[in-house]
Amino acid sequence: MNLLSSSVSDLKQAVVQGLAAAESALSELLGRPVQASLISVTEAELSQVDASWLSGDDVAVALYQYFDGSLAGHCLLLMEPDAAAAVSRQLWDATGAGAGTAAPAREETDHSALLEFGNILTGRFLSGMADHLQIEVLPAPPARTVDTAAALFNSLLAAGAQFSRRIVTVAAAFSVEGLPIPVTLALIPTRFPDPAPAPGRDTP
Amino acid sequence: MTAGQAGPVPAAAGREPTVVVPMGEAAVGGPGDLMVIYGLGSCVALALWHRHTRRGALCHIVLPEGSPAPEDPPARYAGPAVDWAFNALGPAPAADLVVKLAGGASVLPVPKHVPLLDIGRRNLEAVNRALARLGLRITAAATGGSQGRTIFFQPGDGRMTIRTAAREEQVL
Repeated sequence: MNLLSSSVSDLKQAVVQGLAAAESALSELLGRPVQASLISVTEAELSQVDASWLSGDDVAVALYQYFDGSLAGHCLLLMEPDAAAAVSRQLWDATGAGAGTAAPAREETDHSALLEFGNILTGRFLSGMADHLQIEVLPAPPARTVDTAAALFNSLLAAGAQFSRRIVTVAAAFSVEGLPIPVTLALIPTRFPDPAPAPGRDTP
Repeated sequence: MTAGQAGPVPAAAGREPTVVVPMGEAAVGGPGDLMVIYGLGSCVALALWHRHTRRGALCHIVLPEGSPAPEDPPARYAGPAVDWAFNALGPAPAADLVVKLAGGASVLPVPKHVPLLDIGRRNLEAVNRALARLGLRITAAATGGSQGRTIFFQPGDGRMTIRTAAREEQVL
């Protein structure tokens, strides 16, 4: 099944299953209930991406994850800095990792906590989607970076534009004991499981 | 996106931009304009400035090369973008043109095994080749690295101001 040839309802079902998988894994990680809610899912031409993502100097924390398998591509998890800090606090509370930690080490702990969070969130999200679509997806370990949201999105779109002209954007929130953590997931598939040719035509 | 703090217009410019150049697009500005490219990552900003007419072309280049389609914007690919900027300023000897470059960073920590992803470096190489073909030399550049950049270009004096997420500014 081709992700981007799916109907919107199929795509939404796949996203919902992906979020459910992430919700379950995050609950297990934090040792408390986590609720995921889907705010929106859109699939669009790369050139039609919401301009608000590509303008301004707002800073975002991002976790980038490449995925391979019968479906390959790029996944970017974007969070506002406050949301990323909230994630770290939740993980400290759950594991006690940050208790009494000095500032430099705490920064390292924050970094590790976000990587763990992102690895589980995007990894399980992609796996859940793959299960629904009955395809194989193999997520690589994520990497964290901080920059303006515009620069992060710009780089993702440029990376995807070599092989594809479509992007899937998911807005969701994960609530931990009433504290909502808004996230945005952007996926650009660059290789498809179907024998049909990929939509991209650029061969750099 | 409402993350972080949206900063004011850069101190170096002190006013609102008049022309925003999105990905793949290009535009020409005059002496009264302030042109901007937000959030340049692996893309490259090429500013070509005519020192006598005080007009400038700004291109937001996305990819090093590919197969241009009629519906593509003028700066999707490096070579056509450089040609577009050169032609947009009218016939001009190379000595009258100032060339400034920014961008071409590696913002996303992409694994080394992922094929053909060193886009920033490849974009810069492609722009350099296209400029050399036209006999144009780069006057100033702020390229590479791992940080995104927002670019403000003032055709009135040819100044390019570059701002990073850390709010550091550099003027070319």
